[in-house]
Amino acid sequence: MTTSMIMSIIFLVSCYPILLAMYLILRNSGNKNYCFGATLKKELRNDEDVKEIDAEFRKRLKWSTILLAVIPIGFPFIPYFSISMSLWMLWILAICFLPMLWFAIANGKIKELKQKRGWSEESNVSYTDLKTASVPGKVKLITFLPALVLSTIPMLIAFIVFQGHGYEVFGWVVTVFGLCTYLFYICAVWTDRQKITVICEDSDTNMNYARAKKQVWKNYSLACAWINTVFTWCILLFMLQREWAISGVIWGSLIYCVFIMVFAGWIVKKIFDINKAYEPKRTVLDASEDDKNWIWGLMYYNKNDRHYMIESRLGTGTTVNLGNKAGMATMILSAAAILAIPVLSVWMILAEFTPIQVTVENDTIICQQLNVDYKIPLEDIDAYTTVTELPEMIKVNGSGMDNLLIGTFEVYREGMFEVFLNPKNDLFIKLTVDEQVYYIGGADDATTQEVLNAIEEFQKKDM
Amino acid sequence: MIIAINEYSDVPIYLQIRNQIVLGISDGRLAPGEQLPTVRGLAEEMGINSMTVNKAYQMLKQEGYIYTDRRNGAKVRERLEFSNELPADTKEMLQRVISEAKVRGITKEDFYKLCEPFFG
Repeated sequence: MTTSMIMSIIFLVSCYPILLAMYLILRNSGNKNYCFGATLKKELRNDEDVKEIDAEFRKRLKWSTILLAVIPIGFPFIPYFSISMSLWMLWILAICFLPMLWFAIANGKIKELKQKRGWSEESNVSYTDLKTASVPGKVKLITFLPALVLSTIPMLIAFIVFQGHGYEVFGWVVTVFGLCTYLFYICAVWTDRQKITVICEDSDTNMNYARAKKQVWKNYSLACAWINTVFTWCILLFMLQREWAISGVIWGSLIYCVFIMVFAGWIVKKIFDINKAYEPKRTVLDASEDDKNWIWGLMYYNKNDRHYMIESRLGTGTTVNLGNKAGMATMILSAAAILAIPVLSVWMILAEFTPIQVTVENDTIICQQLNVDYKIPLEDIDAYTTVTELPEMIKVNGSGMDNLLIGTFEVYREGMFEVFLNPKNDLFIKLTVDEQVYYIGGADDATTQEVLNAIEEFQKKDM
Repeated sequence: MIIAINEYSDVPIYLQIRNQIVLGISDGRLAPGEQLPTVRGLAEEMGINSMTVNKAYQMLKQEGYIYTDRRNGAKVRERLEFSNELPADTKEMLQRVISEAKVRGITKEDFYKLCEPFFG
């Protein structure tokens, strides 16, 4: 099975449910407390024009979902890793943004209709229930402490065990996963502090509604923190037993994604149930007319509101307040990460299709491909051998594709090597230069042979 | 009790909070001895600066509507001990309202009728 095929299976298992989830969440967005993220009185939902907007949105959503569900079927059969990965990444962007685009269009139409019909009653009044404000936060550090401590231990072990000769990378990998537990705790605190909508004039109802929602969010964050703790330990074990590290990380990540998604599904259902139970008690208070604070009904911008996170008008989740500095920073980081995807795709395609060049000039071996540049003076070579079969390697950093291995790789029990070759060839050179081992190879075996001849000739001259 | 805050009102937010708590006490939505949220809790819930809530609480405390202690936070006073006098600025406000009513042709009797529901 090619790398491209393996990665396609991972993407298929982990990302296909997102498409379905997006469809299910957005399908009912016209029936929520808000109509496509815009406030609209319940009695106006039956207006013919509103129904038409809803029908058009559903039609667009249905067909784009069907189209997006069919498109990736061919991806696993694309022989080029970079193209397959780029298409997957673009597909992920499409499944996240295309339904949002239909939502934003519908939001614009509803706002326009409200203006035209004089339905807008911008009040800018926000409601707060004094009893709800007295509800103590559900998230306590002590609840999360065992998970946090248990996530810290593998990080410490990793830093002690993986030291020197480039092994720190393994330590960093474990640390990144371990820190995610802290991130879940921080998210739990943020969601716990978010304002809970005042649904009616009865304070006890509001308080119970707030309590129920906060409890669900806390349980979700706690479950995620524990799943992450277990996964951090698994990653540490995979890194220590590196013989099955790659398959371990791949399967571990898949199981991890499945668990997180199952819990995400659970929370969506729970919040849905809570909202359903409280639906008969909802009054006009719920719809504070602040549509102008909502960009496309999706993004919240209110400088007068100090909340970092607020309840989203779409689905059951939360969104950040762009009027808040931290919220804006989060959005900029997210946008940068999204913009990095096409840049990364172009880079991968360039890496896969730019042939590697290995030449000998002025008694120096020059290995060059895109930004990678090794210069090995022939006189510095302590030992060299020809290799016809590459050992099993794990990429530490660099590129690892079916036709390209460039960067630092680890051969278990042997150490860290610098690698610059096309693994599809049959002939490679193993060089030792100042205790650093290089595996190099040209674009084809003939080029590698030429380099080998140059080394032999130089060694003979030197003797 | 629900507090409605209008971000674009001419009345400062701390005064809106203060006025609505007084209203809540007068119409019984806030019972004597009822616990009020902490300054931080209310500020977080409203998404406003805690200094604003603190200012409102200080005002209410000064006016004798609430009392605070370090352990239990703020509570509505069990017995509101006021003289049967309105403060000078409230009297001024009342005078303004009555003047406006007179200009608009509202008779004394009608004005009393208007006041009745507020007394409960």
